[in-house]
Amino acid sequence: MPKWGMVIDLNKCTGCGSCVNACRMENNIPVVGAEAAQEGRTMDWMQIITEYDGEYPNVRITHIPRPCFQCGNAPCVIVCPVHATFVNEDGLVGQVYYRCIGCRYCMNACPYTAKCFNYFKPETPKEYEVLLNPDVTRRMNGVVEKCSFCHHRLALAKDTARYEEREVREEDYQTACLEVCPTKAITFGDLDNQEHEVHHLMHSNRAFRLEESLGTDPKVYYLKREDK
Amino acid sequence: MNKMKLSIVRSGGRLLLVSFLTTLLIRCNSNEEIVQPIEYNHYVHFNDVGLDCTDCHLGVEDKINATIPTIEICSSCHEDMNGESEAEAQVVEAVSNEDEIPWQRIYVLPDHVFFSHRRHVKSGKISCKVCHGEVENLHSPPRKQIVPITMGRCMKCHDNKSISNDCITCHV
Repeated sequence: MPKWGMVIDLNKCTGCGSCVNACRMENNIPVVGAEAAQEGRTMDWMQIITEYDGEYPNVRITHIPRPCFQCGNAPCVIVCPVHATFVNEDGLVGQVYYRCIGCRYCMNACPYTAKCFNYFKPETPKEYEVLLNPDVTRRMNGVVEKCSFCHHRLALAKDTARYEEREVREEDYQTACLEVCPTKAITFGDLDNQEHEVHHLMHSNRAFRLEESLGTDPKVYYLKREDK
Repeated sequence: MNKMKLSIVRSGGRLLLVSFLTTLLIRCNSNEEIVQPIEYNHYVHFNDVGLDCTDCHLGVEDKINATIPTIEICSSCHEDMNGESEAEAQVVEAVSNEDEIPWQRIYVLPDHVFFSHRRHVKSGKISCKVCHGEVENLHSPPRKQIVPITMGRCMKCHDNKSISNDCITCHV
């Protein structure tokens, strides 16, 4: 089975936030407004963590885009009491919203804070309904949600591949954050497939994973920032 | 006193559980009958004319979603009367006015379900009647799902055919 994964080049990321917005649009993530944001109720599946090194005026800023890392040994899966979150056969960490009871154990267990709780009923003004993605369900309030590696795109890719009697190709399944990245900092594909670019990038000298010592086996690799 | 409180809490809990399950059952197995605007006769189209499901319901074999026939499809045969039925007269009138017939959908999947017709029909080689029943023998349009589509039914079929029952295969 393929092992879908992502490599993010921190040299290339400018922290523009395109990936965050593309993710919102692709996955029907509601905009919560300033007041709810103050209360920490934003629901960004993709977040940009900004790291500052040094003191003004010699500050070195690194932007780290953070999707769900789709851990092979996911801590969120271990703690879920209702099996609403699980690692599937493609190695993706699934989240079944209709099974989730909103206990938020998984949010606490995730060392990367990749999960968020949905406080809001899905409400969209009529004039904005055309902007919703029909391929992605709108989550109800009271459930935990997270980046799915645009798993609905995999469903479509698999469907097309099966119809055309072939395997899923690298270009068939690409995430929304990757598509909009202006500097092409994100690469996506099958980590085990030598024909995919991610396979070579993950073995680069610059490659590392966040909190690797925890043994979570994340499928998102970063390429270390190097100052020229 | 404590025992009494406990029993009240328990019975309240049971009541809640029962009402929750009842609502769930009612929602899942809605028996509401759907009346179509025209008394369409599947039997005649199948057996007398010799049409197949895919002649009018496009997309079954090559698209993710199958379709309810548009007036354009009806117009390929019904620009003039072929028989004497009242239903056909209504179709011919709709064709001449280029009005879409407001057919009502009977099979509506919730938005969190991904289902591909072509994957089941072309790749899986499942015939239409496995999920839609013996529609070809109906003289009037079905008023509800002949074979009720439930998740349990999908999973049973997947189990029998050794197909993945992984949640996110179907739930997006």
